[in-house]
Amino acid sequence: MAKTRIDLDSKTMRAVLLSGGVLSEVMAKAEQIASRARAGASCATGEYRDSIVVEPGVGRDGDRAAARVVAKAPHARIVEAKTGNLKRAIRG
Amino acid sequence: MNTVMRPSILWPDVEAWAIAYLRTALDARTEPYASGVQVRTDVGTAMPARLVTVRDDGGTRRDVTRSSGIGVNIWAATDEDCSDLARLVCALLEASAGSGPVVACTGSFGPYPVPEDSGKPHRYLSVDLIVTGVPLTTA
Repeated sequence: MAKTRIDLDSKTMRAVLLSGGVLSEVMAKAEQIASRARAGASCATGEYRDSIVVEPGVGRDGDRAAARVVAKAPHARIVEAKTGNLKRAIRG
Repeated sequence: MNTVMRPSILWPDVEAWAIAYLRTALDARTEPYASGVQVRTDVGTAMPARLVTVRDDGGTRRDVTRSSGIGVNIWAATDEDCSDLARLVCALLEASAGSGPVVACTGSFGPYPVPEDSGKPHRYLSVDLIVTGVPLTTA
């Protein structure tokens, strides 16, 4: 019986994972998380809510496109400790 | 359209489990900074010398398990105590697989310092657990 063998070209796979198409998909997913985080933000002044942004990047091993959802307000750490807002947004 | 039937499961109160687990685990420790630690869900009106609060940050169902995020705040009298206690709490939660409903700990974040108006040393960390429940019986 004939056997099928699949060889993945790791260089090509890496190029695909780092491509603009994959990055835009990852960014779209991250924007959904950011939207949930903004919606979940308690709003005294809106500074924290408005500081939540999506940043493009690469994964830890540098082999794939990635995106980060970041809260840049100076008091973002306090908000996360008190509410877990970003963590909750990741889980949907 | 395919419909996947999943079993009905009563999921555990992860917050209650984490409080009981940490109380027992911290009581069994001999490190000075683990002595007299209060573990509960909120700060309350009076801040004790050493306090750990646990918050259920929700999660999502898989098939017969559920991911569950736990946010943990730690306060202690000195920065060194607070750092030591926070790292111990993190290690205890990371080692919690097999306790109660916990199947695995898949990750942790922190601890990191949180600025306090009061100046009291404060750390925050979160862990991601996988938990199981029990089959939902008919009433």
